[in-house]
Amino acid sequence: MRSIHQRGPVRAQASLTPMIDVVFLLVVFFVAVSQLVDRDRIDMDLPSPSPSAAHQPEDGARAVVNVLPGPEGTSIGYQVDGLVFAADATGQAALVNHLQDRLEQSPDLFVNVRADRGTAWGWVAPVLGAARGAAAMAGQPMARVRLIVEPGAMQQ
Amino acid sequence: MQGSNAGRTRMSSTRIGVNLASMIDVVFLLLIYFMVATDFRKGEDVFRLDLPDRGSGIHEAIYEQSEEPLIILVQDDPTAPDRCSVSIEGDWPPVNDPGALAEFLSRHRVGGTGEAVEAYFASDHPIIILAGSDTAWAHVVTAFNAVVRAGYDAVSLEVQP
Repeated sequence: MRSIHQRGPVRAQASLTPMIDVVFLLVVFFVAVSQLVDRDRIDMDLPSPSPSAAHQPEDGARAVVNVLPGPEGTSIGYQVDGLVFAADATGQAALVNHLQDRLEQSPDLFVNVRADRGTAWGWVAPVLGAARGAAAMAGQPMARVRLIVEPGAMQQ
Repeated sequence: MQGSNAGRTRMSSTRIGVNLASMIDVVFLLLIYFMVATDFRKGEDVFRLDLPDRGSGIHEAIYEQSEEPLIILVQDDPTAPDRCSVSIEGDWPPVNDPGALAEFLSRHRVGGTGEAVEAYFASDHPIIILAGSDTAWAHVVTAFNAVVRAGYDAVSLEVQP
């Protein structure tokens, strides 16, 4: 009984230091995750010619058009800047308008075309046509297109 | 004397220790820093392709061309789905695969691997890769790669009607 009286009333205190530690770790974690996730890179099996004459992309503004793979070499649509356009005439017209807007904002824009190696050429060609059409509507003499491939063995 | 001896004993029993917790904190922070700074994704390579506007004057564009374009036909190999067959339209010796195509084009390019008398094409000679709409994209890119490897830079892709 005597020892209890000597201790006195218990005061609960919250230590701020570990909380700050944890909060900072969470901030760093989410910064790291946002760096790792790239919405322009849809997971697909890109062509990988070997020996490859492809090169590293130049810096500059870009619009990445992902040809979303469908069953048996078809495509279910085209994804650009988080927007999905249907793989039909209406979707292609909307894609032309979107690329035209991007070209008017940045005239040096590159249109990067990402397509699965198994997708049929007939589903990829409309993207090149859309890039060409958008460049013409934006008053540019030519469309600057880049075909995206997996890095393979470089040619000697 | 007794008191001073006791003090010496107390001092010598003091143990110097390293606080591991702070070191672990710093090591983890460094680890996270380098994880953030490193790009874990595999890089991607590109082929540059400039597509000129042909909307308004396709006939004029054809007449403006000083040289007849070389047309390369690409199609899936029916016997092996992972391979493609290529051929050159016109009176040219047959080339069966993209490697032979690259070798042929390089041999006949001005400044290429062949002899000067058989160098028929300049590096900016127009080349059209014509593929059927059901040809796999990988095969179109393989043919495109063969042409670029041979040193040509005026290449375009078209759908075979």
